[in-house]
Amino acid sequence: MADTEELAERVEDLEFTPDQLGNGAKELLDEVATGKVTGEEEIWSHTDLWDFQANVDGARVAYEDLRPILQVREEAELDEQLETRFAALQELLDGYRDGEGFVSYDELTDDQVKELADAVNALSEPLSKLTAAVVL
Amino acid sequence: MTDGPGVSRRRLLGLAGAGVVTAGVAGASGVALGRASAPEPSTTAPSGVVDFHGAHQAGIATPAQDRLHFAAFDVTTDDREDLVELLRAWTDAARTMTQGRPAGTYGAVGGPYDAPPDDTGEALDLPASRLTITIGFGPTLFEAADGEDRFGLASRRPRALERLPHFPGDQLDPARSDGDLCVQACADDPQVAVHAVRNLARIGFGAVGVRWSQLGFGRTSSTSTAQQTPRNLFGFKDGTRNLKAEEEADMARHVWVAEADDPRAPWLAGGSYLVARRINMHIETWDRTSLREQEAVIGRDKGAGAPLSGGEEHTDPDFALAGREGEPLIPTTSHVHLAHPDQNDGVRMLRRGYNFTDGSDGLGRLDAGLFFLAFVRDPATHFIPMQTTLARDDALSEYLEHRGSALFAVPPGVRDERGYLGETLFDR
Repeated sequence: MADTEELAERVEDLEFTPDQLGNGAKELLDEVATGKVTGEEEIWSHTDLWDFQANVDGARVAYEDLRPILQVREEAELDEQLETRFAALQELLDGYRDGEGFVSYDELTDDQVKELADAVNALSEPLSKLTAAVVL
Repeated sequence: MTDGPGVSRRRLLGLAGAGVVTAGVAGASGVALGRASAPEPSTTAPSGVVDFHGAHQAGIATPAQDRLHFAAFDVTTDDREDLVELLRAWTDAARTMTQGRPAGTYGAVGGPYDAPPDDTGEALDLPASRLTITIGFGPTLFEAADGEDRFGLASRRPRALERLPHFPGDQLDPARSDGDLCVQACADDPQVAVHAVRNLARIGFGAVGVRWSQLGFGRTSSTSTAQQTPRNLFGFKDGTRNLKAEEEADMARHVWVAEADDPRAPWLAGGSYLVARRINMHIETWDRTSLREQEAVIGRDKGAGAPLSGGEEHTDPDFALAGREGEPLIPTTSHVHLAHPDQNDGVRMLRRGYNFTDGSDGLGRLDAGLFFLAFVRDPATHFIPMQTTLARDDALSEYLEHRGSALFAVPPGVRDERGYLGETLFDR
């Protein structure tokens, strides 16, 4: 427990540069696109939607941290697109909530997986433009 | 034939028209006749650029290129403005890519170092390769399966734009059928065609997702008299009597939609309907069939492509000419007989299909066949009746399996730099 508290404190103190945040957000979604959305990563436990949500949360935090820069840089269009597509993906994920967590990935139909994959692509494309928008 | 830069497509087609003119026959199961990979006269300017602008979209009357990447998309947004934005962005990208230039503001290497490049880059250093990009609208764009008017377009849905009926023997895979939108990318270099679809798909993320796509590696039809007749994977010439771009009167009669055709859809004038069918061939059983039977099934000689009634490739078939025992030399169950306009109320279609193979299946059989593409003025008169006959009676059907099917309405061309594909549907 003491270790966990120390870890939490250290994480609080960490500082990231805008390009680290931007690239980190993109990479979290890349992980979703290549592993989690296919259901391949947790092929035995089928807990992919938990990991899926965790990565989306991480990317969202990084994006929220960078929003002030987007606003200063007059990147309102990119900001709005990211906001909309984060929300659309979250709405889909919320549809699979079950108790404390999510339904098992093997319960999803092919069409539902395709819908999630399309929403991940829809978010990932503008997210890949975030770094350039905040560092230039 | 080579022409200097600045020669218009119309002019080129006119020049090509000075060649041999043939009367035509359409064949619906797509496995009618013709092929050649031998060198042949070029029908475009040396730069290999096909003009993007015009009354009709390029990629229909354009002499068929050697390679294809065809993609069907589902629209994922429910916002009509997003859809129009997508069509504008696709038009801009198509306009530049067909000129042999990269997509986007900065292209493949000219943009900010911290951003992913606008263009994916694999077509850098390659010529335009006669790339054409042709888009179409599926029935579900106008009305979802549950009847929902998704984008306020239901009242403008063309009468003939309905899911094709189930034909005898169809074994359709939903994952290879239908779609809200389609993109047909044709080029003489496969990398150029794949680059085009890849970049359009990327531009579309958020508005569309790819539903299915198909590569084709050899054209199975000639669409210009300047082209030799290619062969399909049965080894027969395919497209000998295909409708050719030079036959302008028949193009107007059988391919281009006229304004008065459909009171609900005047926006489709100058456009066409695109029928797509993924037709698998039972390659191994065909290869074990005697030459006599192969020719009887097709109705033509395998070497030269002449009808079994005699003559040369372009000789008109004589369906009445009888041989021994009074049987017609061209069997009445042959593909040539059943697909001939005489048997089909005189209708013709512009076929633009491609051979495909997607490797082998789990039993080691070649997963191959013909990706049939045809452009017609009205599928209800120009495709459905003929395909019904062929599916029921054609001796060739024994060697075929239709696995994919789709129908799209192809809007007219973009006339100038400001226009976009589909503007007659959305703006007027």
